[in-house]
Amino acid sequence: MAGNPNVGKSLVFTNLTKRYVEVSNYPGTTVDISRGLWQGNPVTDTPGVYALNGSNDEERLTEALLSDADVIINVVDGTSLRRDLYLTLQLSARGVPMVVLVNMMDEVRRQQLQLDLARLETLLGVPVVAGAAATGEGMAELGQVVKTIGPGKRQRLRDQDGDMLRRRANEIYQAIAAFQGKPQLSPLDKWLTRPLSGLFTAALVMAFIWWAVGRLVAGEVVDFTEGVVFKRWLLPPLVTILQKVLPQGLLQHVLVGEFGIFTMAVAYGIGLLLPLVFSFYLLLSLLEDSGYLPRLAVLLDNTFRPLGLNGKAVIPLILGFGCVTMAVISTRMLTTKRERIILAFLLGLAVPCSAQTGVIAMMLATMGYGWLVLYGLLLMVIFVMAGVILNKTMPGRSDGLFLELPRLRLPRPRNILSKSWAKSKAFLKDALPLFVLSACLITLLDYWGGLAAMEKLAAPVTEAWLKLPPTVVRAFIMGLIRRDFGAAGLLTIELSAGQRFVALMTMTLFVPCIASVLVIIKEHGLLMGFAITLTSLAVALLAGGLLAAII
Amino acid sequence: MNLLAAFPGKRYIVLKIKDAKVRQQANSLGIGEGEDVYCVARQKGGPVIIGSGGQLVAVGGEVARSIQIAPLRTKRK
Ligand SMILES: Nc1nc2c(ncn2[C@@H]2O[C@H](COP(=O)(O)OP(=O)(O)OP(=O)(O)O)[C@@H](O)[C@H]2O)c(=O)[nH]1
Repeated sequence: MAGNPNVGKSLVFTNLTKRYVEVSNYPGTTVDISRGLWQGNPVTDTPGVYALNGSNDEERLTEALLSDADVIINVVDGTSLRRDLYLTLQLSARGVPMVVLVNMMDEVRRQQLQLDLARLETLLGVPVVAGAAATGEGMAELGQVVKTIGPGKRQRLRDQDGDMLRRRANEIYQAIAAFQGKPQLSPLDKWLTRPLSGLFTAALVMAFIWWAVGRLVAGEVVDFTEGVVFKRWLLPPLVTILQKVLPQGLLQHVLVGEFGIFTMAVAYGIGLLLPLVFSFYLLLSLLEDSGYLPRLAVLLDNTFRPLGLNGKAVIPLILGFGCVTMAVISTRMLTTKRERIILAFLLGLAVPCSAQTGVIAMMLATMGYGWLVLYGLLLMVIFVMAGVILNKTMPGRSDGLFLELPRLRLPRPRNILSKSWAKSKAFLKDALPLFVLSACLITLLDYWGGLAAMEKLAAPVTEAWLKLPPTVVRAFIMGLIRRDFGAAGLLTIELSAGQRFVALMTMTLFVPCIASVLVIIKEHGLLMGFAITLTSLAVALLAGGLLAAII
Repeated sequence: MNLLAAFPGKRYIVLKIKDAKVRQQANSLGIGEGEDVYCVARQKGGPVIIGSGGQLVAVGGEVARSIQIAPLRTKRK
């Protein structure tokens, strides 16, 4: 299954295979490929691409996947055929049996576009099916056609000649589509992309996210899930029982000690972080599915230019507030290596991830909103400074913005919920073992006096330079494994407001978590991984120390 | 003239796209040389939002500068 980004491929795939896949309303969400079974035959959903020129990872991956295909289902968006036919022509030149599914027919009818699909079938020489994945229309017919499909007429086109393909696509488009009215920005679109109203809305959206996650969920919900469910209902009986049954000693410490698997890893992971992460993914999915993010990209394009990035960078960046690791992966949507490295650097350095943001917002909000604002401003200054320096020093040139704006859509609640839940489950699956591991490590370190030794070793830095109690070293070590876990660890340490602020700031800038370092190494090489880690460390200590001296 | 000088509400024809990389992107997004585009909105210095074949595409300032256009007067019916 192949097609342009955002044409509804994932939804068609789900329709065929009845298996959940991620469906989002911004270009390039299917970074991982999904595989499923349709009547016993394997179906693969490829990443959405505009062309097959081998010019980025997605295009190369799609090429590779297509070379194994017996049948290609080319999904196109009926409302943007002029664009989509380019890829269709490239695909049909491969000579593999192919069917074109013209999706979004509901939208086509709503906009009263006239499409001559019979003519399209003749011109392309492959079967064309009309449908709408959102309503299920045409899905059965698609199945029928796939079963009976034979090799199609091979379009004799030289793959490489883009200009010629474009001309041919236009000819076909002119032949099948009646003149379409003037495209227009809806009033909402105008509001979102004009500087003043757009920035105002963006600020509102951000404020709402912070309020919802930092106050509502981190406050009310977590008070219940962690404070009541775990601290009052679950843990006390468990601890009492285990302390009775188990012999005094290491095992007891590992399970229910200060940093025990149950008392810390599970309680934090499920009671504290799961609600935060889930709510964050909920909001992110809303932003993704509504099509708001590309508007934000238009709005911020000029702002990002001094950093050597274009407006598209806002998408991985916002994802970064969800999970830096995921965001580093999604930097692939940027078109040059230069931009990808700059953004990976900035993500690793100055972007706190969702669970961490939740914990941080919670801690800062209880200290007063002034601290919260200060925190945001400082982070922004560091972010911009780092970006400008990178842009000045990195060789090469960044690409400008060239981005399709998908229609604004009301997100489908079921889609939002199931997606957020799927992501939260993935989070638990990834994070919980790491939590347990780090809880064990810390308990062991503590038990054998390693922690005390490290605290002593780091004392010149923590006490003299950052003016923090030596015990924060534990939180920082936990933060290496999971940043959010580290931030949560700070909660248990007695700190003054100023100290808390310094600790949080340093923690945010500190080395990215192990998972994101690994992804950075995988995407950009060992050298880059080290460079980003060491720079983060240096900047964190520098900024933390300076802050400690001032506050 | 280049795309940065386009007026919102006016239709243009794409004459030439100088930068090869931009041209490739444009081709696959449905904006080829010889095609008509419609300027939907513009901020000073970019981005310019253009309509082509039913979708909207945002074009950043630098990119817009490398797209040569000419006003299109004849209205196709
Ligand atoms: N109105 C309408 N919306 C649809 C239809 N099919 C899909 N959508 C919506 O279009 C958006 C994009 O769908 P996806 O399935 O994520 O598209 P995709 O092609 O997989 O996108 P990438 O993952 O970016 O390649 C989602 O918000 C869907 O709900 C349809 O037939 N009609």
